[in-house]
Amino acid sequence: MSSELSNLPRDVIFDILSRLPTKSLLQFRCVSKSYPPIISHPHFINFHLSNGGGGDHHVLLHYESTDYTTEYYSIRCTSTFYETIKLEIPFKSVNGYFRIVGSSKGIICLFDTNYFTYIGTLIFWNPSIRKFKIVKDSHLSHRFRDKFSHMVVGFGLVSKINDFKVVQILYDLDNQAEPDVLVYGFDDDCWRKIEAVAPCFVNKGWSNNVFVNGCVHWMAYERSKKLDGRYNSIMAFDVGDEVFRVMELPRNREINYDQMFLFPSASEESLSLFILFRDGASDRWEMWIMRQYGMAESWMRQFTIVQLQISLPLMIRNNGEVLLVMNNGNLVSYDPENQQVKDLGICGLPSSFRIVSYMPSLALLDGGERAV
Amino acid sequence: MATTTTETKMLTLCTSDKQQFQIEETIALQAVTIRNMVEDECASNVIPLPNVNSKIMIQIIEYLKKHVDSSVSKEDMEKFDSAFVEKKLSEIFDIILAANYLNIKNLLDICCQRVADVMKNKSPEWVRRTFNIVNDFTAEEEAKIRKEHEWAFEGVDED
Repeated sequence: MSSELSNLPRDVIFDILSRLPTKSLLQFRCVSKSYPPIISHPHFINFHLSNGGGGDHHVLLHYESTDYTTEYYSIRCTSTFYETIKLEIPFKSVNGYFRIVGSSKGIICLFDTNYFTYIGTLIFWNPSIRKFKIVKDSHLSHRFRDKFSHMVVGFGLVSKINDFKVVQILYDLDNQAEPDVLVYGFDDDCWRKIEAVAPCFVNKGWSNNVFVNGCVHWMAYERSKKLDGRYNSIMAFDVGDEVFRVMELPRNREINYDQMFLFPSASEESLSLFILFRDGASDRWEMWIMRQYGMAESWMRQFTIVQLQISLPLMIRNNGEVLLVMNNGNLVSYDPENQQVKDLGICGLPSSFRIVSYMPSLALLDGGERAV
Repeated sequence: MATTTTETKMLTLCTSDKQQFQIEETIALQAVTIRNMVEDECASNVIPLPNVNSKIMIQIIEYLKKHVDSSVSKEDMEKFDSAFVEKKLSEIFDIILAANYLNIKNLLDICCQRVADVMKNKSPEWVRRTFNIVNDFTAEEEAKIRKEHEWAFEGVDED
């Protein structure tokens, strides 16, 4: 018998390759012309996705220089935070600027929008293979109401069927009528209006979408509760079942906080909150975790940070440290165990920082446009 | 056990090079293909395995014997498995072919993982050499595809 890989049955080759990290697969595309057909095949791409993509975890970091002139995008190692790839967005913003909606299985979802109209165009981008796809605008197939105010966007993967989905919630100016809810599926490539009713209001400057447990989450206002400009709940949209849910905030935190930010927990299986309290002169940040996903009773305060000039919390790392942007624009990693601050040597416009977890994948390899 | 006899039931497996192996039925039945053969045509004493040679069969029996033993701890079994796949790739491929034919899922699994572990961080040149794959790209085509995936070539093992 010979030692040729090609002698093995096709499904065994499939199995072996699906265990490899995306990086190796991209190298192996250069082996011969007969290699790409397996790797580029939609079945293989899906199989590789559902197999965990060979398990190499990264983060995508975005920030702007303090003088507003340059934007930086890079993919970095989750543990060391070293830059793996420096990225340039391979397309130009048509509307104004890009907002990162979310990241799932190798696809970064960007929203090309501006500060005035609050509508925009969605783009799926796989930076590892330099391919992207511009999602056709929903208003081509769906008429917005005259008193339309703004749209809120969410992005996630339906893992059962390996389909990327976007949800758009269209709010009216008067905030009285039920908002329209549109869903876009990557495989169908079309927008459809769904019957699900969005139970909460999400404002124009919608917070980071947090995608865990098959649901997109936003900080939101539940209308039945007292509205004083502070978030009073978390709205979740299940991209698989296409239904909304409302989750309660930690009960004793409803009042008197100054800012609140939502994140995936370190395990990415549940939610975390960073809550800022301004008591007189000093700032106090509390980090909360929902220990059991979906159970409001399981909210627990993990630690408190005082005496740090934090501008923006960014991410909870899987080693338990948190990434913070300080008031001077420096990015640091904070270890709550020993309260040590490590400077990561990156400085930018504090409000421009955004980090999402990123796992290289082959999604879009068999479709999408090639960036030059 | 439902049976009253204390005698261990044996099966005879006949490999492609006409070697016969007498093994306990409980060991052999871990291979789904053998189990199906035994269930379907119960009368036959000798089970022909035309796709497996004796050299590979010896190794497969070694694996099955270990895995039928329920007294082995999970840790020890993992140790055994990782030692078992410490073989040349050509040998692993032969075992994969046999495990695939005999339908022994665990064995197939650890062998596929072994191949993937070896391939990780290897250059395209290494893959071509190791698997006798002819490079049918022109120099320009190869340069183009390498350029597309530039980042993937950082940190590749030295050949």
